[in-house]
Amino acid sequence: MDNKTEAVRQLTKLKFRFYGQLDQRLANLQRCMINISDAAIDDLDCGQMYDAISELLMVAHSFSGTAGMFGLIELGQSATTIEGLCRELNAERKVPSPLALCQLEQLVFQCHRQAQGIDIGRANAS
Amino acid sequence: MSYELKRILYVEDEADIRAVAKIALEVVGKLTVRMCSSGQEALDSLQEFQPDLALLDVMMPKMDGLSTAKKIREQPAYKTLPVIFLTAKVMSMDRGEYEEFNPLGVIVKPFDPMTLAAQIKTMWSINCHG
Repeated sequence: MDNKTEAVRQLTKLKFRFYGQLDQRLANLQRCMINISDAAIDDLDCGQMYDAISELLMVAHSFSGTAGMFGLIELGQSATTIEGLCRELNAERKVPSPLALCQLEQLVFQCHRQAQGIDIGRANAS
Repeated sequence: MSYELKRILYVEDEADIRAVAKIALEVVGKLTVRMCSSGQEALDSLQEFQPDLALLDVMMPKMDGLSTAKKIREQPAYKTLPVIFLTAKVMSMDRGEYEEFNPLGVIVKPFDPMTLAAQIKTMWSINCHG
């Protein structure tokens, strides 16, 4: 077996392990989003909201890097958009507007929808 | 003096991305790689591993890629160690931040595991180390 064929074999194994962890990763995104919503409802200081958004940023960053690498391009792009929005919100250092929170929620929901529509065979071919 | 790229110190906090890069660099690229999950681990590995190049993820908790590069370069034996930064698309516009380290290049994630090693070797040779 040449080195490229061996690399493809090992990468395929990693891809399927990643697909097996998708539900857990999506649940993590959801949990972070709930923490942000809770912080908004409690109307607490910017610190709690900043921490909650930072956590979503890190989870989305991790997701965007890995999903794209394993052929889940759209899912990776959605996670990248979440990451970018979190970065903007934290740069402002204030409680986000309801519109911004709604955008974040929709993006997290979009990740769930995209994950449900994944054709593993096609993603594997990419 | 020119020399061949053989040993890469790779720092990345994401285990999945480390696993992909390990295949990309070792299996496809036939390079010797030390994988580190943090900047501190990289600093602790320097003396023993003696890399030709450091490949650093930019966004990491605690010590990010830029701080890691700074700490590496503070060590007299590694003050000119070539570095390449890896960064997510969303941060790739901030390239000005990297200039003080005069990196061989900046690679945007997600990278293609089948061409990553070739990309790094090209950056190495363009910068007169080939």
